[in-house]
Formats: sequence, structure tokens, C-alpha cells
Amino acid sequence: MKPSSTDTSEDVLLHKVIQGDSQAFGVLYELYLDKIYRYVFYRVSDQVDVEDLTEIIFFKAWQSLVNIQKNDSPIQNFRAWLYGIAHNEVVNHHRNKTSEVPLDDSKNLPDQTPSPEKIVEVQERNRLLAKAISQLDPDSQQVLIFRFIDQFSHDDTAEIMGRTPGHIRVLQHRALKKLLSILMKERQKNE
Amino acid sequence: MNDTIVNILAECLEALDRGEITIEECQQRYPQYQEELKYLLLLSKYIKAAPDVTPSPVFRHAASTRMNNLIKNQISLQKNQQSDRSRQHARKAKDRVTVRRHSIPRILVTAIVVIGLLFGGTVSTAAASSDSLPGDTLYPVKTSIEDIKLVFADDEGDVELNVQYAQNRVEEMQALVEANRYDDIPIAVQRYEHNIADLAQAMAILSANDPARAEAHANLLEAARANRTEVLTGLLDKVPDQAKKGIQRALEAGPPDHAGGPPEGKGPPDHAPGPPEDKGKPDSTDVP
Repeated sequence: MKPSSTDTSEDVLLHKVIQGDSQAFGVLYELYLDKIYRYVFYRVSDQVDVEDLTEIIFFKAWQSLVNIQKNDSPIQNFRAWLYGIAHNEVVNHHRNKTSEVPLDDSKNLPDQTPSPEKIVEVQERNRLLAKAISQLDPDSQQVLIFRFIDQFSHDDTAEIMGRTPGHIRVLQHRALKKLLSILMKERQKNE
Repeated sequence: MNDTIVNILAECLEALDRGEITIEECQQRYPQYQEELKYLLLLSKYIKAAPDVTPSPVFRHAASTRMNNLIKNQISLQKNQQSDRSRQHARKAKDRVTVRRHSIPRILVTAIVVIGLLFGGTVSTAAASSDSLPGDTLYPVKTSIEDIKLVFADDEGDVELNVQYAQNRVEEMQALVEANRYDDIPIAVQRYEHNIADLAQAMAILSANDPARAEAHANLLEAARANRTEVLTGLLDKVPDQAKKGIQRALEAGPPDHAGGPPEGKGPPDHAPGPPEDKGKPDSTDVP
């Protein structure tokens, strides 16, 4: 699915997709594939699940866009809308797999970097971080991913999560403290 | 929740993002939260420094291919469904045309209604037909019931029923205009002209047989005529040109000469318009 449009304005692309233009969706797919993959990676612990969910999220986005009716309320912010689908899919995934997902199971974490020299170090670092983040509540997971992995501003994070910037600041502080606590416990365990 | 540390942390994080401050400087600026800030800011730095997570090239290629196939399959499926729906619509439209073209002959409908009324078997059909409009399958049932009621009415009843039926036709025209069924308006107009002609004849007979009762109905008739004229005039502004002619004809069909003498024969008075030359429905009305 190669981008064919020279116009990368998301609104224009969105309009084209709603008209059934699969090429325009291809452009949006390329723009957001890494971001959505990363978002799912830090919230789901199994590589196969990360990949499956990423595909499901984009396919559901396509289905929703081409089925939009004239009377439906328009999508104001595609990024927030897409992350909303991703969040729902992750929540559904955890709901369906609650009894079978061991949080400390990191054997299947994705291979991240092709550099052979650093592969062990990188995998270990990502593994620890993803494992720790995956133990947090959904709001904390999201705020950490958006603020520090994707490095969105407070305002952008608030827009995506549908909260106020003030609420995001509170969630951010709480999430960092919780994550710190988890990492310190892990460190103590390993010592 | 301590609002102060929440906002200080947010402020320091933003300043760090802009490269305006270091972690140490932030700690110095807020010594009362020095320890907490140190850990939280270092942790945020640690998360930001995490190696980028990207899909593997194998997954990227495979996922792109699968997505393409899913979308193509869905588009293909939707096209097939649309095609099926179009065929269904075309078939339904054809069926409607067939039903209208082969509408139940009026005499047969009348016979069915009469038999039904005699034996009480078509009450539901008759009730259902009361809301029907010109062009509907049940409309002939509605008008046949009206005709039958006239057969059993006395002179005064004839006048009152025809006034009511003329009003029914005007209301039907209104409903047709609201439903954008302009092609069916000529049916209502034709029937309206028939009702007005019958009203003129009924009034003439009543005037001959009971001048006092005829005089008593004069005001009622005038009020009814004025009401119909007002409604029909209003409709003229709402309909497209092709329907204006029919409405204009309906306007010209009244009023009956309620003060006139007894009719010379059984036919309608000279001033009453006869039935339209085209007794059938225009071809265009066959098209839904």
C-alpha cells in the first residue's frame, strides 16, 4: 500500500478515505503504522498480539471510515480518533485474555533493532520498560506512551485522551510515580 | 494529590523539552521537591531515551499486503452488495409498475366492496383504504366505498357527502404534494372534478325538491368552496410546472350553482365540467 497522493493533509486524506479512496487510506496507514505499533507494544506484552492488534486497529479504522453516514458526526481529530480505536482494542484484548496473560512473560517481546551489537541491550531495556508499563492502569499507560514515548505535548495528549491538560498533568505525575515504584521493586527483586 | 508538585513537574518537563533547563537546575529551583523531581525527571528521561520501537520489515510488508487484500475484498463485497440492492430496487420498481398498470378493474373492486360490505368480510381492507392516496393500489377501494355511500344517501346526504369527498380530494392533493408525488395529482384532480359535478347535480336536485334545505346548505357550501380554493391556490405555489395545470383545473372546477333550478336530465348541469378526455392515468404516473 504505497502512498500515491502528494497531498498529505490529514483532513483531505480523511475526506478521500470516507469517499472510499483506499490509496488515501494507504497514506494514513504509512503515517500512523509505527505510532500505533509502538502504542500497542507498550500496552500488550506478546509480539504476536502486538502485530495482530495493529492490523485489526487499521482494518477497523478503514471499515469505520468507509461506513460513515451523512448524519454521523464528523471526525474532528483523526489522530485522537485512531488512538481511540487502538485503546478500545487493547482494552478488549486484555479483557479477553485477562486470565491467560502473564505480565512477567516477556519471551515474545518484539525484536526491535536490527543492530546486532546492541540487540541484547536494546531488547532488555525495552523489555523491562514495556513490562513495567504493562502493569499500570490504562490511563497511566496511555499518558506515559503519549507524553514520553511519542513525546506529545500536554495539550496534544489531552486532546487524544479526551481529557483536560490539567487532568493530564495529574495523570502524568501519578503514572511516573507508579512506574518508578514498579521499577524499583523489580530492581530489588533482581538484586 | 498535591497540585503543586503536579504543576512543578509539568513545568519542568516542558522546560526540559524546550532545552531551557536541566534536571539539576529544576531541582535547585524547587528545593522542597528536590528528591521527588530528581527521580521523576530521570525516569521521564529514561523512557524518552528508550530505543524506538518499530515494526519489523517482515511484519511491515506482510501487514501491508494483508491490509491491501482485506480492503480490496471489502470493496469488492460492497460493490456486489450495491449491485444486488440495485437489482432489488429495479425489480421492486418493476413490480410496482406492473401492479399499477394492471390495477384491479374498478367494476371488480366495486363488486368486491359490495360483496364485502354485504358479508362483512372486507372491513379491514376498507379501513386500510381510507388512508390511501391516488396511485395507491387501495385507492379504487376508497373511491368505490364513497360511490356506494352515495347510492344509499338521500338528496341532502348526496350534497353533504359530495362536499366531504371534494374536501377529501383536496387533502389528497396536499398529501401528494408533500410526498412529491406530482405524477399522481391528475388522478385526484379527475376525481375532484367528478365530485364537484356530482355536488352540482345533488344541489340542483335538493333545490328542486326542498328549496329550504338547499338554502340552508348554501352557506356551508360557500365556506367549503372558499376553503378548497384557498388550499388549492396555496398548492399552486408549491408544485412544479407540470403539476400546476392539474391544480388549475381543480380550481376552475368549482363552485357549483347551488342556487340553480332542478336539472333537466340525469346528467350534470351544463356548467359542470365533464370528465377529462383522458380517462386513464397518464403514462408518467406508472413510473414510481
